[in-house]
Amino acid sequence: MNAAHEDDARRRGRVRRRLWLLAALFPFVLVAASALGAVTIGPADLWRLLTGSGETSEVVRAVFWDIRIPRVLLAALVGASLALAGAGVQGLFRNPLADPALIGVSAGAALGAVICFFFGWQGLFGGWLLPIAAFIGGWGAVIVLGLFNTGFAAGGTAKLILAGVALNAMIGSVLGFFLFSASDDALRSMTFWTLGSCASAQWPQVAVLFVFLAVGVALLWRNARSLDALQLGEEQAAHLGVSVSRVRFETIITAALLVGAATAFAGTIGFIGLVAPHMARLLLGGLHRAVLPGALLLGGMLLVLADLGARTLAAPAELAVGILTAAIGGPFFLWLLRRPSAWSA
Amino acid sequence: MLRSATILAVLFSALVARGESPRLITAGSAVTEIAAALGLGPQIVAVDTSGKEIEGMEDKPDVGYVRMLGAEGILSRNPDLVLVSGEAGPPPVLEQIRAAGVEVVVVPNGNSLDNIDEKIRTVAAATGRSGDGEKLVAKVEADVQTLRAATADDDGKRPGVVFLLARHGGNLMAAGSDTAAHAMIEAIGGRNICADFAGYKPLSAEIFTAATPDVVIVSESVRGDDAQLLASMPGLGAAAAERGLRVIRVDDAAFLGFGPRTPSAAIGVAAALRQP
Repeated sequence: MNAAHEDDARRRGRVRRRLWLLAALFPFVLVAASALGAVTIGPADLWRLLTGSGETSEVVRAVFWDIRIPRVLLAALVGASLALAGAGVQGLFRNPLADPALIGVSAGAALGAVICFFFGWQGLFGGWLLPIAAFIGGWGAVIVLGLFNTGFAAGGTAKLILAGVALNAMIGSVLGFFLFSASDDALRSMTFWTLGSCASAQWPQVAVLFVFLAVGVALLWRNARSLDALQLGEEQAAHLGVSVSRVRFETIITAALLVGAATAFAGTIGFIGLVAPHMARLLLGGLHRAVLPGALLLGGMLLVLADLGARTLAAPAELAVGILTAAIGGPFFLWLLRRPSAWSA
Repeated sequence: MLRSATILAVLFSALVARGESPRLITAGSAVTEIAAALGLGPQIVAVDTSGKEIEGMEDKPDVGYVRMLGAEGILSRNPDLVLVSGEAGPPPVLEQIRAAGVEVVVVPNGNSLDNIDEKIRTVAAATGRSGDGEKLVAKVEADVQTLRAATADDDGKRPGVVFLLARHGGNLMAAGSDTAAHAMIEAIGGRNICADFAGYKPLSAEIFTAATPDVVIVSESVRGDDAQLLASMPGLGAAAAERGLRVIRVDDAAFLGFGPRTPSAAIGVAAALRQP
């Protein structure tokens, strides 16, 4: 008994250390990504830009403060949002292959964006109609799913997943119709939107997404213990006093909020929502008070690094960030899987 | 138009006043082609991917696909002026470049032989080459006149044409209405047999049940000889050779680009179309 307690304490200490390590690594990755780019900014200039002392050229100032920093921050927020939503949805469905896309939010957002391109509306309202349409599309899909599942009430997780699959297929067919009927010009815009990119990052988007992420973190954090209890099964969780319907409702709403907003600004970016939570679980164990912040940090860093590659590897050209999330995250994930202690952290 | 030309002229004189020839980045194949034809080649410091195909631009740095430009990548080449075609984007990226103090001039798009003048004049005004621009406009207009004269004697019996574009994977796509190819088929005095659908659609047997083409126009880059190509087309098969179906190969960058080379390329294709 005593030995088991000691073991438990040691494990918690290790998890805490790893979480602090990730948290310490996060600003380091942000700073490194901000220092690198197609335009070379030397250490002296960087110092001047950061402290506001001395003179730098107008172009260098604009590149750093108006282009690079918002882009790095947007990538961090998008990656963090997708990973956090993924961690919540995987916990809720107790399914390691669950992806936020399962609740239809990504497909719905894509439909909103594609309709925007179809009618040539992407530039309206100073370019804000496109993210708003994508966000509304994502929410529309989740609301439809909720209507068919009596507001995500308890029971029938399998039914919810199947309804999600059917909803995704239906949205897919409407998407297909728009893609098929689109003009060549609109079709190309749609294709590039679905590849995902942080290239259009601007400060207002960073601010909006930050608010969404803060709300998402708060909502999921208060459900973290309930998500732990849910891992025993819905009935057992209910016996432990967890309101399964409420957890389910809030988790799905949070995922829709996070994925909807992230997708609205950066297009569809796959892989992170699925794999970052797994990385967090492999490193930190299964408790959601560790998995949720771990996934957030890992997802954010992963997309910042992938976007760094997207904007520098082929400079002055851009690469699609979707190619790089898998290229950077995949090998790291495999390395985590092959460690002997992988499942015993 | 005149007002924007004046603004551009003022802008250019500011650049000249600095005693430099402005460093240019061009994106969009017609824009790069016009800039090269105006003798601006040495000033071009980077082009988009489509621009690399244009003679003399092969070694220029590549800023990527015209719809997927990156602001920092473009600014890293230190341009004074960025000339882009209408489809360039994403729009916020163009705004970011402007916000960094670099002038961005959008050259209007348009799949019509009548738009080429406007494109040339926009590029010429932005770069202070109005004299050379007018010379190029005169040449283009003369070519368009020659083309119109050559296609005027139709008497309503225009040959049926199908234009095929090769997409990656070797799939052939037929050009319907609302495409650059459709506009060019009309311009060379042909009749697009696929005009009842818009955009590019995968080639299928269905297309040839409604109408049979007299001529197939394909890109030079499509592999295989004419017989192989015709045999591979669904719904046409062996019957094609019997009907004497002809294949015309075109340089699609010139033929479909609606740039300064397009009218002269069209004259050649129009002549080939009229061969018995």
